Amino acid sequence: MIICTSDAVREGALTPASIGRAAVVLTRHKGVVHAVAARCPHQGADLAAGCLTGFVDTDGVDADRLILRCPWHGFEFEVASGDPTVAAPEHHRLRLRRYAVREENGHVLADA
Amino acid sequence: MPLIDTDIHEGFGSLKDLVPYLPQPWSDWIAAGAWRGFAQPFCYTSPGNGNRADVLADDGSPSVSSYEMMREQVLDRYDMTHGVLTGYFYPTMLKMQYDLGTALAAAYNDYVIEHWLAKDPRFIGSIQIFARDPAAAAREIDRMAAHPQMRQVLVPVVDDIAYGDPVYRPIFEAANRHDLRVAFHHTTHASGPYGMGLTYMERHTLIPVSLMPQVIGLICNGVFDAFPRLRFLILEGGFSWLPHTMWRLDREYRQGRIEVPWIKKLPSQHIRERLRLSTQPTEDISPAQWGSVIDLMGTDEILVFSTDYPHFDFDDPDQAIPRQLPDDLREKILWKNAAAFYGLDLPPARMAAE
Repeated sequence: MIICTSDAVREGALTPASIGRAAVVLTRHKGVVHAVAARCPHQGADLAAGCLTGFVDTDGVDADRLILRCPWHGFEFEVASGDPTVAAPEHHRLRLRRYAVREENGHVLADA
Repeated sequence: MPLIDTDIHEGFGSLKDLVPYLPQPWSDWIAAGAWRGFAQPFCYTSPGNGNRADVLADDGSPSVSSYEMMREQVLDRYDMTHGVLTGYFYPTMLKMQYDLGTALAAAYNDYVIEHWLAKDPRFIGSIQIFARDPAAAAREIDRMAAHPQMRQVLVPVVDDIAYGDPVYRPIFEAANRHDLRVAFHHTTHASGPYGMGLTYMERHTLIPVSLMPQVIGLICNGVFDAFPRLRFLILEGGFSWLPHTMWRLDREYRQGRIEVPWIKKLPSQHIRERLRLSTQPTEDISPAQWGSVIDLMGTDEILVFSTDYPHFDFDDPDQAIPRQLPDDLREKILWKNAAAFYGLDLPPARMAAE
């Protein structure tokens, strides 16, 4: 299933798209395209308005770890795994759903 | 289901929007850029710089000056029955030039009536005051109280005013005179007992600690007893601290009543009867913990829902109040308690439609 053209997905930017009926956001990190669910698992904000950063640590920002922050509360999620950077409360699953995508012939594709 | 949001922040594009509503000389001062507004003593750390990152005015600024944007993002998005406007500009933060402070409060009220309240009957307005001059604040309350959408006085919590002090009594007398509610909201100058802390996280965690003393001060200094008709609302301070405050006040009252004979009821009874707390920011507690905290309060009629739009820690009404709570409790939190607090006959339009 074709999602969009490859050039629509850029480093440091979030591209809203759909995979079937699922709203997703796409980004590119170190050349690789990632797709995650567009709704924050906390309170449902549209992550297309979120921001991408490296992982902020005591000795600086680790640009190898791509973090997506929710546009509302600022919760952080590792794009590579979907995991929150801070453990979720026991009763609340706070994991960002990831979608498997690949690039072929100038397009981003997902498994149907 | 009806829905009432008790804390929505409306604003203006810039201070100069107030110029048409200010008398001279202050209109000239503001028009000339003589004041740059209140300095914000910290950096925001959220992606939207204090607001939701998806709140952007047409000019790209984060100012909440567009009714249309607010209507789309909150009022219509959640099919709200009423939204209570609580301001984005609190002149009481000004610690000098009292006549300017009073004029700014009046100008802001006039601006809000024209640019916000007049545009949507779902809005409930808050009368802004310059609290450092209580007599002038009372006059502003008298001036504004005739407006049918103005249902409450917004009392701004700063870093150096404890409103239980008798010097502020004219504010409560005026609210009482007009059967208005009294809502307390922190400002960017509010602080904990030792200041704001050294990080934004510390400052934000301390917000409830800036509000709790107002409740304690109002009760201990007799404001609840002096005005038995007044009802009070604490906005944006969370709520899980309330059981402790009730227990502690009751204990202190039992052992020290001789000092405060003007208090005629157990403090916890005053609180249950006439204090309400808005829910935002909910603290990601479990549905069972929600039930426990409400049980500890001794009544399910204290909590009133709020989003705090447009701020970054916005609570979505469909997400923040757990669906696992009993239906009658969710209804109380999402609209019934607020309707009772404001004395709203709810909701004629909706009832007709349904």
